[in-house]
Amino acid sequence: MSLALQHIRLDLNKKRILDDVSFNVGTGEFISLLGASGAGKSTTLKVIAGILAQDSGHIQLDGEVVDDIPAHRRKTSIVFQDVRLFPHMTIEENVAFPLKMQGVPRSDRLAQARKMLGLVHLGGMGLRRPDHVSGGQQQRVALARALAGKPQVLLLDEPFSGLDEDLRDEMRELVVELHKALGTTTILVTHDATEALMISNRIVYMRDGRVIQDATPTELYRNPKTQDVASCFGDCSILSANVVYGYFCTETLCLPATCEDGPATAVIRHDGVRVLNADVSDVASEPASFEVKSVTYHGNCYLVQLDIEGQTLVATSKTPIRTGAHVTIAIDQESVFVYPAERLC
Amino acid sequence: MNRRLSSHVTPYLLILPAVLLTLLFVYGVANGILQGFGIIPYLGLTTPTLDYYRAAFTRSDLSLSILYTFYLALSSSVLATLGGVALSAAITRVNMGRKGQLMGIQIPLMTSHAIVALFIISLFSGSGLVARLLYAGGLIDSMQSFPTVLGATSGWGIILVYLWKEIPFVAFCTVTLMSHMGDRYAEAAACLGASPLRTFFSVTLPLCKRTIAKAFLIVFAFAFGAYEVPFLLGATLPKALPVLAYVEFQKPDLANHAYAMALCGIMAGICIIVAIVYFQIMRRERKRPL
Amino acid sequence: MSMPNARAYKKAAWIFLVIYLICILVPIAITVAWAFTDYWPWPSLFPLGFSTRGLAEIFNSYSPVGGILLQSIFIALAVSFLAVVIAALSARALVHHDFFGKELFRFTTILPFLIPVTVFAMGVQVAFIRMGLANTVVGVIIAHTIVALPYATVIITDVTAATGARLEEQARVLGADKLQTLAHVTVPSLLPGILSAASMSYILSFSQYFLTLLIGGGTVKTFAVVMFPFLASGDRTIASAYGLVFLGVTFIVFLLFESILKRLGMREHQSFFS
Repeated sequence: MSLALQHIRLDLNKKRILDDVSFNVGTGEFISLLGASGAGKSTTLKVIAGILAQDSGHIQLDGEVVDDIPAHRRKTSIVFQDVRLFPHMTIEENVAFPLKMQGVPRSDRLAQARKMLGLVHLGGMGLRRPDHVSGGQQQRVALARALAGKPQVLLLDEPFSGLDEDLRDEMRELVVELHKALGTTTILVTHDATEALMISNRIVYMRDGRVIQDATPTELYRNPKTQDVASCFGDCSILSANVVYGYFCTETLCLPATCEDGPATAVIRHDGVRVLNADVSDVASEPASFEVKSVTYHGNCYLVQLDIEGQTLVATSKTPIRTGAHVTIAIDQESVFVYPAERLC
Repeated sequence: MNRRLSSHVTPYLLILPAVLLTLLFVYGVANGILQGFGIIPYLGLTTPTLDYYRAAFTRSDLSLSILYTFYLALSSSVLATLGGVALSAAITRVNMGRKGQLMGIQIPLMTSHAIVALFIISLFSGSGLVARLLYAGGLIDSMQSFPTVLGATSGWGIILVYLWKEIPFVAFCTVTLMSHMGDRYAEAAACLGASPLRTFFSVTLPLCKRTIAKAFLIVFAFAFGAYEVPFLLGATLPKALPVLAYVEFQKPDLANHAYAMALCGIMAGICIIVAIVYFQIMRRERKRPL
Repeated sequence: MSMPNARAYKKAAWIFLVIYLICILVPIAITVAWAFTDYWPWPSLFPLGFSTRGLAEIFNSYSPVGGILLQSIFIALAVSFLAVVIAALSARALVHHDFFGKELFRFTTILPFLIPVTVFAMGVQVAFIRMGLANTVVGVIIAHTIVALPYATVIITDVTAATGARLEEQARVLGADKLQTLAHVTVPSLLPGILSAASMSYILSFSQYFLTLLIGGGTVKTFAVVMFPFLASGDRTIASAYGLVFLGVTFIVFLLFESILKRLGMREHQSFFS
């Protein structure tokens, strides 16, 4: 089922939460809504599901406008962050609930529920109560429950937060596995950019209720449209300076920039800056050397914090560097993104 | 060392006042029941006897009285529970604000049952407001045409009194829980295909079952053992059990006193049986998934 | 939260609530009307004369009703205080401690729900007489507290359980001693429940007829006892006047409760539990 959002606008408590949100999702696509907290991602999900009604704009499922269809009749399903399993039902009754709402007779729906539980690797646990299983297992039950009703769009609202690392990975793999097996159009809300890169067909980046960029993971990573998109993958330094004649220049550092002249911000990924000469003995003769402020060990490399006239640029090094040393660096142009400075009001 | 000791003793100190009052309560009730068996120590009567109970059971109007009281209590509590749950549901659906809650729940809570009996009389007696409205509308032609509420054997006035007080009471008991459950699970249920009505009956209500049952039991036991309203609005025959018991209690003869206590024993017995049934049902509910 | 379909249910709920409120307010209005009239013959729909005879007869210089009213208020306040304090102690034990006999104790707190007040009153009268508590104000207070305690306990236990110990633990590690924690953290967090329990206990005591009659005898009279005979009498003016006084006084007391507790730190709609 394809999904189209057109110019969705929503105000809540006199605040504009969604401001002209538009994007499309093709049948069977897996997209991520990425952005910081408060960007409006969860709200967008709720609008798609029909829990919240938008003030203006349209939602189309398979080309049909569904704005007036209430939540319980839209063929969408949400897995919430806080799980929300019904405590007065067993696990299999929870999973069978959407089928019960569709009028499926008892034995059929319990059988289907058990099959779903098998798909999420919880077979045999059907008769337990929700409070008798772990948090990760509860999430899987919620997933099974959302899929049991055979929704045409599956909405996941940060379902992995609150789980520890390896559980997150497990759940992520499960979601991908289910997507491959069932082919349901899926929208995942997350603030973890790496996660979005890993599993989505496309990423829709949102900020302040707007879609900033809508692209494939590769495109988003290689050509981020704005500063926050560029820096959302973490592991980057942010520098402020002016762009003059097409060059982003501090006193000691100059990088080519494609944006127009004026105050600018550069986002420079850590792994694009390498230490060349770990210990410049004669600082005077090497003007493009920088002082090391501190070094932290990261297992597979050392992150070296360099002083650029009071700002910090982080470089990587395979070998330890002593603090206070002066080093020279090489910067990959692909890891540098320069944007006009944002006016902070 | 000192801290551990005090933390062991603390709970017992905390519950002490309540325990004392409870002991007084139990003592009072047990004493009364024993009197029904003829055991009145301060008068030197220490041999139990079933005479008084026998007298009570052979009384011609006892079974009628028991049934009547049971009927009054059951109908009031069932209707009040249904009404209270509906009221709760309406309140949670609508954002009523302070004034509304004040009027809707506080005011009934502030009245006494006896005053509500006055309300019913003012409204539904032969010269009451409802009769006057019907007369003005040409539907009846005199005071006598309106069905009596005072002393009616169907007890409909009594039941109305209980409904007026207990529907808000049941709502008071359940509204907080119901709105919590609604907040947590209504969205999830809707996204899984449940219409608001089905969400209420399949999710919200089952989660409130125990609280509703508790409220039902309290209302039933209260209605069963209350004196004021059946006295004010009840018929001469059949009398409600508490009224019957008190009539005997007031007679100066000792035999009547013991006899009254036997009737009290019967009342307590019925209430205890209902409570046991309730607890058994609750225990079974705990084990069985829906 | 706005669902397109929910509007219909909301409307139904509003209609239900309006009808319900009418059912609540009309009887009160009628009683007020009757209290202030002496002439409202059949079949007129509105009173035909204003008069304060009702209230005058209740409070005239020869009648002791004024004093009885004050005594009743005093008794009811004492009962609500006792019930709330004892219930709070019990709630604390039930929620924060584990001890031998806990479940048995929990059961006994709801025992008075199961045995009717009439049975208790008739059974305990002799005991009170022998203990010298009958015909005394103290005895009446104790008896009323026994009846009010289960309600207060259930309410305050719920609130105590919902609040939990987190706020207290936090206060303790920030340096507050037991008394400070109690005054500044525990009690404020329980205030909504305390208000509810206090109001309920007050009204249970203030409206108690049968129990007061049996324990207080002829000596300790409360307003409820004095009022009762008038209620089904033929004189609807006096009956309604008594009813009006009852409602008015209770309303004022409830307002007082709320304003005192608000002063102590509870704000409208403030919730201490997330």
